[in-house]
Amino acid sequence: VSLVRQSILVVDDEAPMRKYVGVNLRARGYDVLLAADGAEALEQVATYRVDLLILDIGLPGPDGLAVLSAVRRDLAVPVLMLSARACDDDRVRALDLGANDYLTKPVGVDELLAHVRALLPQPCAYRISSIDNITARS
Amino acid sequence: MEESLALLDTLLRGAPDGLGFLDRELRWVRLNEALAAALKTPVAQLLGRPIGEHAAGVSPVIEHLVRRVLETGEPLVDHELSGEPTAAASQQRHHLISLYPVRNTSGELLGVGMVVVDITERKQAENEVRESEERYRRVVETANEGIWLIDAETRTMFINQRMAGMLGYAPADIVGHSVLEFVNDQSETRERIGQNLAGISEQLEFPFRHRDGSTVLALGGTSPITNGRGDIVGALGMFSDITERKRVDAEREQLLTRERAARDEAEAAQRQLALLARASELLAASLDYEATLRQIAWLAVPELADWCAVFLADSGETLGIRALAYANPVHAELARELERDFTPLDARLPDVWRTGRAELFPDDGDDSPEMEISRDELPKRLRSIGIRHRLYVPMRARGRTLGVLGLAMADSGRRYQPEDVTLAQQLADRCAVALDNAVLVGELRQALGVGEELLAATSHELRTPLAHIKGFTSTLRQPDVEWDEATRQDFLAEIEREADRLGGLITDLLNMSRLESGAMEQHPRVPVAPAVLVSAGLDRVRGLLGNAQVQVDVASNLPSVVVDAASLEHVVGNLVENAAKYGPSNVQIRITGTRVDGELELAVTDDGPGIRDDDLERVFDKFFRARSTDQSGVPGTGLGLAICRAIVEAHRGRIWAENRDPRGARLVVRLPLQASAAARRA
Repeated sequence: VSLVRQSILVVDDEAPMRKYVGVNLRARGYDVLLAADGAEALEQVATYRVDLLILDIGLPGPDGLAVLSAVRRDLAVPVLMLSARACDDDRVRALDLGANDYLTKPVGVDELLAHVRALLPQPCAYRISSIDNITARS
Repeated sequence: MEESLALLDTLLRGAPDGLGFLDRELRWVRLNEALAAALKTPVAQLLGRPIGEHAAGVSPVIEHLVRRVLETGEPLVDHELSGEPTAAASQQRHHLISLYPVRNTSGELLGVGMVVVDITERKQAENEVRESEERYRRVVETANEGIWLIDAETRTMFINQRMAGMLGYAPADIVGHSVLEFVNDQSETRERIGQNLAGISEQLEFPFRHRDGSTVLALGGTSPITNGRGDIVGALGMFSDITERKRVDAEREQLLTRERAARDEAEAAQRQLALLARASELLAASLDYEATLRQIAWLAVPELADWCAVFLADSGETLGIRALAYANPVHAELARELERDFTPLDARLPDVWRTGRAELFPDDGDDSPEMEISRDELPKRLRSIGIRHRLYVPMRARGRTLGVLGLAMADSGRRYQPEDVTLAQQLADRCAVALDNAVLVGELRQALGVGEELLAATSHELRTPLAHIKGFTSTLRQPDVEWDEATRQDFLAEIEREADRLGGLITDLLNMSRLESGAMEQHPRVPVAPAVLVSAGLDRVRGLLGNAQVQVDVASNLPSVVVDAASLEHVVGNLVENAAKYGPSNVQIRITGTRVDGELELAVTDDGPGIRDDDLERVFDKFFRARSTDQSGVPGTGLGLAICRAIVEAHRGRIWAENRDPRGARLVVRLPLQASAAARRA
């Protein structure tokens, strides 16, 4: 129903992870971009409009924290860290660098989607309601 | 005659005193009004009558006295008479009566002349003086203060009961004696008395001597006594005995001192306990060897030392500084210098280490010959910062002396006392146990291969396939999305792959931990021909090779190697599998076996993407995954090559990776042939 589909970039070096997250987001109507390492992620961010970044930490090339720092220099895009690193140090470092949320693998679909919804800006609802109003008046 | 009698009467009348004359028969011949008044009878009633006839005024005592004068012919002068108070005069009157025999020119006794003087007023005044004196005397006698009056020659004029009693005498024993006989230090007292007699008043402590020889301390004031003309005729001193007070004061002072000492001791004991408690707490929390060392050194500073060093024997017989702490931050530079330099700092140190007995080296002063010796033992730079006092205590644990805890005093100027040795030894023992624990834990960690880093990496590696399984299963269970059958099958296949990966990872971890615990050494070793090793290893992974082309080229004349065959087959299989996994689907793989420099060389060569030069050594690290976009998505545990290296090293061999020109990698294993043969013979 939304006029503009929201775009989510999923960055993970593990193909099964990209696939799992990707299919689930697509099934809920999001546009999904994929990146397997830090360099690719930065390229995608620079090229496309991204409404949410789902970012692994352990990446080849610039790791997730480096990507996060680079993104934060220019963009206020919400970032959800999704990492197998469970210790508090990583969580604190990521949040300090500007991450909006941190999930530890493994994570199920329900929890993942709930965090995605919470982090995404919600312009669609406004647009739809205002269009409905216009339609009703005319 | 008449004229002279009339003149006499006039005189008599005018006289203030009572005057009268009695004849030989004791009849009043003449008397004046004053006498009549004294006798309380009018003159007319008395004249011509005998003295005894009149009972009213004149007492029989007077009659008796008059008769005696008549009989003896001797005058009676100034006899005092006191009359009873009468109703008219409530006051008792006092008189002086004088009686004179009166003779004619031929010496014949004619009668008695009487002169009566009223001395009542005088008497009263006298009495008042006496009463006043009595009052003062009583005050002086009963005074709680000692009072001592001396004349200008220091002789005692008066001393009261209290003062004499203070010295163990009665006043009578002292009166007339010089005050100097009753003091201990005569010269000083003489000087002071001299000053008193010179007119100086003072308030001070006087040390008198008691009759029994003891000293009586008296606090007193003295002042000179002057006569009417202002001459100093003596001195008055008033004293109170403060011997008791002094004694009580001294006792209290002693008590206070003892109490202070006890309190100091208790506080010191408490500080020591606190130090030991803190030591135990800190050391118990530290299982890391280096951290424990540092903590030990800093524990003693500054409470127990200005400098503290932990000396350990790193290898053999030489003790070296392993940790150093200092109270004064300005010595940081010197401390770094000392820590770099591992030479023993003091010739006495090794003795303490060998004997396991604490030794205290106090500074006996610059002149002592011992000091000269111990000075020579100390390097110049230590002497330059004032280190003299040293206390070396052995660090003992489980019956061994691990090292020596060296404590030294410098800037603070403190000195070690023998009792410090006990505390230092207790501290050293705790430190030694902590150090011993740290060593044990370190050994244990190494043995189990579960260092913290490895544990974190392992948990990460285990979590990854688990995350995939969880992801796909939860995806399949979502009620809001209907997946088509092909997608469902794909998800299930992913789950199965990840479950296998998890299983493989666990197997690898187990192998790894077995290898690192040395269990591999226990496996039976048998002689195996290299060609057999290679073909068996290849068979293990043949199902995983897909379209890869494998070529085997092992020299037939190679001697057998004595090895744990299963492990080495695993190595061969793993290297081949890696080449297939990371290369293109039609990768060319070649396995060679040759003899090089007395060693067996097995090499697996491929024409795949190769390994980044930076990573050639690190690919053998645990959980290291080579960085290459071409390789991303290739499942692996990150342990395969680490296990290979462990196996090869357990056989005293080597393993390494090379890149080929223009492309491809070459993984090489070398095993010593001689050693293998030797092992077989053994």
